[in-house]
Amino acid sequence: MLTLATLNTLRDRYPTVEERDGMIEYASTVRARLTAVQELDKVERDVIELTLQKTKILYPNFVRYHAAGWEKGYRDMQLLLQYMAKAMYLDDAKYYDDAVLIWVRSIFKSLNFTPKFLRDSYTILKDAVRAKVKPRTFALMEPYLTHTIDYLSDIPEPFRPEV
Amino acid sequence: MDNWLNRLIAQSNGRPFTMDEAERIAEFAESLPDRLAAAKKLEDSQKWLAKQLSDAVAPKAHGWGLPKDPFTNDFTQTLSAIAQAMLLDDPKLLDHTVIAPFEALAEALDIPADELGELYTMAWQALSRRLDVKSVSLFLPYFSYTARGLQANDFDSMVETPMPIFDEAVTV
Repeated sequence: MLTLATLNTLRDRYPTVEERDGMIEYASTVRARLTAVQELDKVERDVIELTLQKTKILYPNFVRYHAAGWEKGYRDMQLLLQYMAKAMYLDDAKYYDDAVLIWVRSIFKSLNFTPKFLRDSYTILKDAVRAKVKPRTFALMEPYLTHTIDYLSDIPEPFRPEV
Repeated sequence: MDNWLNRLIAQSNGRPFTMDEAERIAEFAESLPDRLAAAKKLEDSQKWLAKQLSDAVAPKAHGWGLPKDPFTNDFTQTLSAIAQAMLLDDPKLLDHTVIAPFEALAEALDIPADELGELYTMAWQALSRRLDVKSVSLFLPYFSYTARGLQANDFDSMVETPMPIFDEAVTV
């Protein structure tokens, strides 16, 4: 899943058979990916609002620890969803990690979020995406949503949880 | 690596792609099967073409006081760099991967860079006869850019239009 980024590595060599096949496959899906990006853009607000609505029920004390926590949560989910969509469009998971995911997780850790809170809230986000988009769009996004859940929740328990 | 795609991605940092940006990427992606097919043809001809270049430079090398076959590895590397630039749809990549290194080499060895540029004109004439029409149209700007870049000896004086010899080669 580094389709276009592969091209940056070719100065002294030609694409391998696997790389060629990957790029040809990508070319055949790029219009579907663009349609998926557009669909996600249209449902973004609904998806995040639904996610936060359900997360608030599970974590009613969250806002006691974090002033404007839900508003910031909206912003964070919007940022991650938009980058997931860009990464899906480029077929480049590494781009997503490098551009935003690693950075966001370090912030979440510093805010004393628990692994369970992150797993729960981003699993709800994944389910909300599934509920609001066409199956083809969800199939394209699913690896990024799952990766987000796994990566964000792969942190130590904070000494003083604040969720 | 500084190319249009990486610049476009960097410029979109913190926001979604605009429709124009997304469309530019989609059009490029859809051109990849043809670009990959053309690159494969160059790869298949690379050894032969590098030999053509080496044979052509041999008489010149004697006059320059160099060994008979001084640039075989350089020629091979420049051909894959030309393929990469074509794959990425960005001739300006060649400024850094082919033209500047060859100009530095020419300066260090005190040989005329424009004569190296002539070699790529010759290489194109030979290669274009082996390629299908689509591959010719894809590679033409890149061989032209290389030859012109070396012959100009000055990036700023370069013009974007192909040299006449390359226009003729398309019709071969």
